Amino acid sequence: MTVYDCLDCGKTYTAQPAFCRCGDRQFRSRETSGRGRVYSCTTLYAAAEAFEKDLPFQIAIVVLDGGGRLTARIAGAPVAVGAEVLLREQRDGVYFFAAV
Amino acid sequence: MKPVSIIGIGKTAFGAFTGQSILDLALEASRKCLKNGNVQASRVEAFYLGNFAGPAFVGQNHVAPYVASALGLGNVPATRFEAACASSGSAFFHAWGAVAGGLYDLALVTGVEKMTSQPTARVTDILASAGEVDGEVRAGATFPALFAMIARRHMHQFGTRRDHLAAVAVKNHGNGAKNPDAHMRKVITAEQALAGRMIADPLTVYDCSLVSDGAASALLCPAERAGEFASQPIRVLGVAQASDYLALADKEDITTFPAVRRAGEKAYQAAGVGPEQIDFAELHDCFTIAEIIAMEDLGFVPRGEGGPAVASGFSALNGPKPINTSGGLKAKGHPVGATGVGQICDLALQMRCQAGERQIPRANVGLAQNLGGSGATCVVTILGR
Repeated sequence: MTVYDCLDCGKTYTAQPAFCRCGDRQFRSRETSGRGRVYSCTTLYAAAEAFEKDLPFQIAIVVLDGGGRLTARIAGAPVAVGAEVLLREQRDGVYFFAAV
Repeated sequence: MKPVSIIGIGKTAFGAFTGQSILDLALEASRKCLKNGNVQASRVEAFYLGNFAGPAFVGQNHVAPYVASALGLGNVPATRFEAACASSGSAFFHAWGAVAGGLYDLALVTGVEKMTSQPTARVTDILASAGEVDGEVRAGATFPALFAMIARRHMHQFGTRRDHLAAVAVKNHGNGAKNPDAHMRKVITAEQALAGRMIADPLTVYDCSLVSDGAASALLCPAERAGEFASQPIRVLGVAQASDYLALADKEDITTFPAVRRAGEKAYQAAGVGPEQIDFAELHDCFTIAEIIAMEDLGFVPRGEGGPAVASGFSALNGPKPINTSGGLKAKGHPVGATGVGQICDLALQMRCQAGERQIPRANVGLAQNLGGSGATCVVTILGR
């Protein structure tokens, strides 16, 4: 999984922004293992129109090993807070993680 | 800055009103407010409209001059404020600033939302656009899901339980049942709340606020002139707005909202009071967990103790610090753009001893907290009589 570190302040992003919050706009991309930990999660039983076909499905805030956080989908078995997860695929700009 | 007073309030009932347009609702609340303040429309100098998604819900943009002209305000400046569910809190904050700064002597603030003409999945879609569309929303997040993750983390860190969340719903439904203008006047039990249909675990349908139509208005003038208009003016002791990241995942800690803490600190400072001097409050219970966290962020209780405090009756109608005596967003209803000014009207009703069956004995200093999105905007208002 590719992440982007700000060359000035070192903040890590999972999608490269036009500017870092420190004002710098130079980033170094870095490949990571795609491993992380579930910070919080929920299983949805009601969704917006485009996702109704996927119900029920789980989403989570994942904190990546080595920095960066994002809201992602969980594939396969449901996970709990603190679970170790690994990136399985990236599709249409959405990251799908699964339990390790 | 000049001290500012509220000299008139007006609101529609909140509910599902087939056949009433966004304009009908805004006019009803605004007209009631002008009448309440005994002010002719032609004397109003500026119009501030809070509205989240008129364009998406009913296809109408440019809503502020639409309402202002239909009200007969003439050619005054009329501007729409959009800050998700804090839209009318934000409109109120900016109207206060203009009156306090001496720009106008009479400013009318109206919040309105017409939501029920769309099917639920479409409403969910429109509300989700207050989150980060290029990130969390693309991954499938809805607002119930974002607050479900907040609740899950709060449970993990502090031991908050589902029955604590249910206690918020039971309390607010009990209060709403006493409010003739509430969307849902139905007393519920903890068992019902806990057995409710799951929306985004751990939140059931009873943890979520309602999709409503409605409008609310307030009329502001410098305190020194309030006596010319109103017999029971309410003083704006302090009001502040703050902002934060749009995406929930960008917050290092999702069990607290920096924008709520910041707006609260500034409002307390301006008012010269602390949380212990607040007699009662209307807090933004878009989801039950949000009321618990607001109690903590505003200093009513220490961090992590919001859930047990609600369960102990701390915030009950007859408790030491009544919260959401109106029924809150949970039972009174949540027409998102109307909610912020609606809270202010409900504080004023208590302070004027006009809250009927839900009247509390001590209502000298009240606080309203209006939240936008998952904490990206917050407006805190402290009123005194």
